[in-house]
Amino acid sequence: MHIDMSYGSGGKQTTSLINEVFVKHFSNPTLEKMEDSAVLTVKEKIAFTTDSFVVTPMFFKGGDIGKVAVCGTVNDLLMMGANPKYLTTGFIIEEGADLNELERIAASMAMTAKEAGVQIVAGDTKVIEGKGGIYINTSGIGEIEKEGISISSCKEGDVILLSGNLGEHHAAIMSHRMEIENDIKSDCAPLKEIVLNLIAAGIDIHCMRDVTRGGLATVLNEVSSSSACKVVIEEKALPVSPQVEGFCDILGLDPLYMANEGKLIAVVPKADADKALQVMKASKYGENAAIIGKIENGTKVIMATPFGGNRVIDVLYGEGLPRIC
Amino acid sequence: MDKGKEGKLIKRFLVYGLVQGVGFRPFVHSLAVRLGVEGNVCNLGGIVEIIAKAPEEVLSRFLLELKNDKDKDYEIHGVEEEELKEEELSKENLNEGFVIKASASSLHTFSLTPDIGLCDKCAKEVLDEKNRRYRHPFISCAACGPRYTILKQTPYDRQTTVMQEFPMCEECGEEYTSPGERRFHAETISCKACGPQLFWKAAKSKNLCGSIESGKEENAFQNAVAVLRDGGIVAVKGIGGYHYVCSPFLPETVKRLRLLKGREKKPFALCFPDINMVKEYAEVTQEEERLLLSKAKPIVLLYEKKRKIADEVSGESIYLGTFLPYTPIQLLLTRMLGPLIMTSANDSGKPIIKEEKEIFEVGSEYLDGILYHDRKILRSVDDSVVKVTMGKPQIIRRSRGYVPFPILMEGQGPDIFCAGGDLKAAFCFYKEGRAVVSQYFGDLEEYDILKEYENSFVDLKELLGIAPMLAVCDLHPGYFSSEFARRLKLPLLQVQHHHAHIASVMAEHRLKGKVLGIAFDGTGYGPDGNVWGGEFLVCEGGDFTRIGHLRYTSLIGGDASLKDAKKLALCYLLQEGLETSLPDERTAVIRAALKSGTNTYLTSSMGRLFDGVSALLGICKENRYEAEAAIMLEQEARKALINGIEPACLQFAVTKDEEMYLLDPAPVLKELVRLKEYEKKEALALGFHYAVAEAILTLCKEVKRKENINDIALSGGVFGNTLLLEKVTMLLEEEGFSVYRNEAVPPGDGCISLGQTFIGLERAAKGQLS
Ligand SMILES: [Fe+3]
Ligand SMILES: [Mg+2]
Ligand SMILES: [Zn+2]
Ligand SMILES: [Zn+2]
Repeated sequence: MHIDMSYGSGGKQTTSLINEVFVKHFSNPTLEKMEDSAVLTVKEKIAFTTDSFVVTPMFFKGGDIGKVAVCGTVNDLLMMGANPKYLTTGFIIEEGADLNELERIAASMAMTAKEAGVQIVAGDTKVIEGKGGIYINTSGIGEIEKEGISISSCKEGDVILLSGNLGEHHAAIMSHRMEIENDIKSDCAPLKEIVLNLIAAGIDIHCMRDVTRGGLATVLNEVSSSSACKVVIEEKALPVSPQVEGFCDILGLDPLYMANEGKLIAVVPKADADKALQVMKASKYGENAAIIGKIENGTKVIMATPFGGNRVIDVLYGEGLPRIC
Repeated sequence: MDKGKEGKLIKRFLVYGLVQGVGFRPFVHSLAVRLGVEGNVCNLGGIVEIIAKAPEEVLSRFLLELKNDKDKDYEIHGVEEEELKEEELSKENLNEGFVIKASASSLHTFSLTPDIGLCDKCAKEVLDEKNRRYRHPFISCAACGPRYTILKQTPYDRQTTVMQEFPMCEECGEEYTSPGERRFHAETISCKACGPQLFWKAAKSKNLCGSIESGKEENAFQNAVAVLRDGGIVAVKGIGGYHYVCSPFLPETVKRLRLLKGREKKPFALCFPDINMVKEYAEVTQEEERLLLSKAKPIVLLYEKKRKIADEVSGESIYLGTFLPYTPIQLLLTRMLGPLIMTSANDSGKPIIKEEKEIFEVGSEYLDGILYHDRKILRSVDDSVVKVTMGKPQIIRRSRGYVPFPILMEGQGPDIFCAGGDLKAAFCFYKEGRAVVSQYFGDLEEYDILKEYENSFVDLKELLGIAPMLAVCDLHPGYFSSEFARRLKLPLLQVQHHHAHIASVMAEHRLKGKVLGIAFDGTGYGPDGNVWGGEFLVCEGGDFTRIGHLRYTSLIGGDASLKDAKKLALCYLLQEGLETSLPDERTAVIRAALKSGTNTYLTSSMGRLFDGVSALLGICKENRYEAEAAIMLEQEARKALINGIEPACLQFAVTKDEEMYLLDPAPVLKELVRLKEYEKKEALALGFHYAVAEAILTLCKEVKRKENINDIALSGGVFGNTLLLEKVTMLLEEEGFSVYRNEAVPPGDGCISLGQTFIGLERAAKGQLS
């Protein structure tokens, strides 16, 4: 069954879409009240964020657009030291979208929300002309568990941890687009356990960022410019799975610039680094965590290569564009 | 011709080369007086101007003697002459007799001298037991020794160099102040009593030669000799930095050297005690001999004779990088030990090491000892590399011995800084008609090299007294050099990479009017967002129009992919449906990537096509050092020439799409695939070179017919290929074209900053700066 413009009329079709797809999967007392807005009780200090998701393909190994939509917002809340509590979601559906696919997406969102311990408390749907695409917005509220975490709080001597293998989401999406078969799965995941365990262990986290679009290189450059520091990483310390590495070798891709949907970096004082690594490794989705570098005085992001070089890691300026003459 | 009243001509000579601080002007003076030439001589900042008035035959004799003096300390690289009329002379140029004019003070500071290799007279003295400087490791005179690398500030004087730390002894002071002495005002003068001292430090881990921790002079020297004899590796402090030195005859030693330097595969250069020994190992033409013996003492790439050294030194390369001692230490070492490998001491991606604290920190198990001294090196400057093509030098790397010679530019403009490119980076400062191209830095993606580049900007800016009003950089959005130029907060001009290549040739040869530029290299950013590299540009003044290029091909992205010549070959073949001829397990994935446009880019790069063809023919599948695949392809083609093998007949399709000529490699690739089953690869390699040359000719003739352009400028790393350059030049000259190429700067990206300077000046003159 496909969705047509009548699903967006506000009439019977709309109501059935909401009930049969969204309420069915997202069910929780707040949502079920069907009021004009959700009424929530939260702790004093909250984090609040929003993000929109446009992913092609909508389904890929290791996830789908629904899972990404929940993880993206949940992880953004977590990065500020907040425990995610509530999400709202908006769907923009192009006519021709498959109803079954929509339901698969909703089910996936519900499952991910459950794993992340958040409730989807309000939603909206619009149907527009188009070619069957589905776009999702999520907004989220989280309760602050640890204050003062900031991209501009990194200090000289701090240590940088990465929660796992690089490049998996990007490689999975690309494989799909190129229609090639391999074992690479998106790393899309909520990072709640890692973050809350770090906070519970009393790690003095200075900064956290999820490593998404633009990859680790982009995040580290943000750290460098916001904290006015030099970021030094070790190439051989970067965790990359053999499958992704092989994939990157052939396609000339650099895992440093590839998107992830379930990885974070944490910048912590040197004294906390080993403990933080233990906590990460013991947490779900943090099994491959590694210490990848440190903060120094200066500017730029530098990667020490295994052969003694120190490469300057710039932000991405154009896909595939070579410098070498 | 205006012979004036007395049948005399007046000429202005502009003399370039090593003509400063080496007694050139006094020589000109005495020659003029002897021949009865009237006029004057003046230093114009590294370039000497002579106004000479005499009968025509006297003037030719004057010039001839100037150029041919055998016993000279100066070195002329070029003379430009121009006839003047009496009325064109200004008052101060109208004197009786012949005078040495004081140079303008602003130009004085701008005139710096490069480091000068050990001269013959000093070499003789240092080997002469009776001389008081016998085996003095720092012997030098007014005509030789370090200059640029020891200069703190201008003007060049003992007090402004690091030699300031070594007060002269009485005897040296005597020589220094005696006019007529070889060491009259030789700022680097010293002897064993008062000069810098040599020291030895054995590597901690080693017990070679009885673990002598340090020792002075002869001791230090003898320790180094003993370690080298034992097959050890010694770091030796030179002029622009440390060298790693070892025997080229011991395979194990050379292997250890490769481990010490990182996984480098590049051939190493050898230092020979004298020219005769060079000739035992390599073919040396007259021009090559001249270069080897020249004051710059560059590394000259020669064809190796029957191999006598370990294969590990230069692998399959037919070239042998050779140079003659340019320091007394090098002379003494090679005299005792014969030819030695001398390669810059640095890890890959780092500048050449120049300080003790860095070399002491190397701490590699492969380094056995350090021969150092207490004369500081202020600037890291690598050895220059040159080869001879068609009887003329072609500079591969322009650094020690050449920098900071100015290049004379036409026209005047504000002080300019030109950032150059990112690879083989070298920037350029322009002031008052002179362009000073900096030493070679390397790849700016490397942090330590970028730092060196940034620090050298400040250093050279101060040394030259430049206040740039304009910055010029490459158009590439990701170049670190461009980012640096932006940070200067000056008016900024962005110049297309290949336009800069061609402009560098126009600058060198003062080309006017329309020039058809052919820029073939690996990579340059094009304003259409594609990667250019096989370009035909009509250039005039500071502007260019792209009129043709190698047809675009889609290649897999990423800098690492460029090393993989086989992958590049697959991309070319996939485009033509020929991929089955080169089996590879990655083909399916590469096909999918090209089809879906995943991490791919469009390029007209000729360098990449050379890589691809090299891999297709099974000659070289991976670039282990820069341009290895292309160099190996050229070597294969050369074998065909030497062995009289006929080239395969290959041809590019030249088509015209709207206003753009396209060189289509498809027919060449198809034929290569077909022929490689039964033809010799030498024949195919040569055929490919000839096909590229023929395609250039076809296009040039077409453009000449339409636009009447007769001047052809060739630039870009691809023209570092001697075989191609010779063939193209021959074909074009046969058709009556005037062919120009880089001579003062490298055809590779070392020329970019000079080209940027030319364009900056042209645009500034026309008020075309945005
Ligand atoms: Fe280039
Ligand atoms: Mg986000
Ligand atoms: Zn001398
Ligand atoms: Zn002395």
